[in-house]
Amino acid sequence: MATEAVEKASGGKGFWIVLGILVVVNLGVSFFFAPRQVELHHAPVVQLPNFLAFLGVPGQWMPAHLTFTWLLMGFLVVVGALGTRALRPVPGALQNVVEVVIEAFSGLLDQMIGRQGRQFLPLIGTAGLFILTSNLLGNIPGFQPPTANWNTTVALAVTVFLSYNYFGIRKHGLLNYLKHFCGPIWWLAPLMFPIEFIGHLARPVSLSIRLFGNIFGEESVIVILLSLAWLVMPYLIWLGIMLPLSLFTAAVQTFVFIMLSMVYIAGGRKEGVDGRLWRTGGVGDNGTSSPGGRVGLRGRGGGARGGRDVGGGDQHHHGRLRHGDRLGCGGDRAEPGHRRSPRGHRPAAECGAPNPGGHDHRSGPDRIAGDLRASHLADHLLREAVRRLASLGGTSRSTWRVPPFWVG
Amino acid sequence: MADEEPSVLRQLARLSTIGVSLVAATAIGLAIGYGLDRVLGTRPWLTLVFTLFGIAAGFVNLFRDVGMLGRGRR
Repeated sequence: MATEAVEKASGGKGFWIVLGILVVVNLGVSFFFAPRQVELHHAPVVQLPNFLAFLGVPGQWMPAHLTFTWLLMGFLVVVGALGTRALRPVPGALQNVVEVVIEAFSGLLDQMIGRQGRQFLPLIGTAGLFILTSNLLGNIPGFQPPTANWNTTVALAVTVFLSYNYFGIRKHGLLNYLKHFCGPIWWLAPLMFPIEFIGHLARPVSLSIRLFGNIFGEESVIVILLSLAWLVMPYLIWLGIMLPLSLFTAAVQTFVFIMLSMVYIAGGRKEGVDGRLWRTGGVGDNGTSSPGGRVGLRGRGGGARGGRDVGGGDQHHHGRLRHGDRLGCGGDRAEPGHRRSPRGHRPAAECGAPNPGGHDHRSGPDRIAGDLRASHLADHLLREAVRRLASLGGTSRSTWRVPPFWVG
Repeated sequence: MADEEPSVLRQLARLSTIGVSLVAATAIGLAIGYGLDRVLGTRPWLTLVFTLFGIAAGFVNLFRDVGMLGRGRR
């Protein structure tokens, strides 16, 4: 009865058949191969003679990661060809699988890059499928995933690096693309350029090291466990812990790789510099200049808390704000994201001072006071937090005393 | 659930970049400085400067990633 429920949950008999075959094959292969191989790099099942010796590839056999790369390439090409050979309006099994995969990738591209994202489907899809199948290959004992070798992941990461730079240059032109590296302030450009440059160079390094490290580490653990498989317990650990874990890692690392690739491509094609770090006003994703952002933050914080004390503080700031703004009539500066509070400012027309250019008419001190209100808010919130923390501990602030031994 | 899962995965992806890219940027800055020093013969100075650049680049990446993380959560 219990098995029926499990069967229903996991998709019927086929699941159990596949699992059974997997277990039997794994047991057979690992018992056959593993005890002989004590060293970390176990000999792979599939080996090719080194026919590239004239190119300087050492050894009698081809390196395992190359062999398995070609194996995977062949597998993917065959599946792709079979799946798309005879396209039908009502898809068969294989065409269905291929369609689901394509849909998944293009949906992700739409989400991450936007409407024009699908032109990158060949790059992203190929990388994603190759990495996924390669990672999954590590779950078959005797097979080595190519991504457990740094050479493979470096090749992938360098491809992504060159492509996203190429896409950026193709969109903006070389000079405009290089301007992205310089930040918004021209006299900071000599400082910003090397920083951005190094930051961009770090991307392929981190991409490749992350993928390689995850898969290689996981593979090493599996090999060690399976080399002790005759003790039964390590085999059970592998079956119960490492197999599900490595299936999860395979999916997550694939996702991480292609998602970061898409983020990089989107970043290379974006207009203007990164508004999140360099507050340039209007370039940021919310379209807010920094004062507008602060006002928005203030409004949200006050609204969300809704507490009596914080509300009082909010009113206090409104008082300051109103005072400063009425003096100079500049409360309605042209700030795109400026959120007008319901009980604050009068509209600019009432002030009688036309403000065509959105220029700040406030006098110096008022402007400074107005701009400082965010730090007032921070100050107030800090005090409030300290007060609440103190009341949480059961002691009020007045009873706080520095213990004598701290002073002495 | 279907809406939640990619978002969590995405957060995971962004989070997993932080550690490695911080180190990688510093290491690359160091490598560039060291290489330039060897070529130009200005022994300690460019190593120093470019390592600092690398550290700064790592933190720029860090701030960007964390900023995007917050934006994704909204």
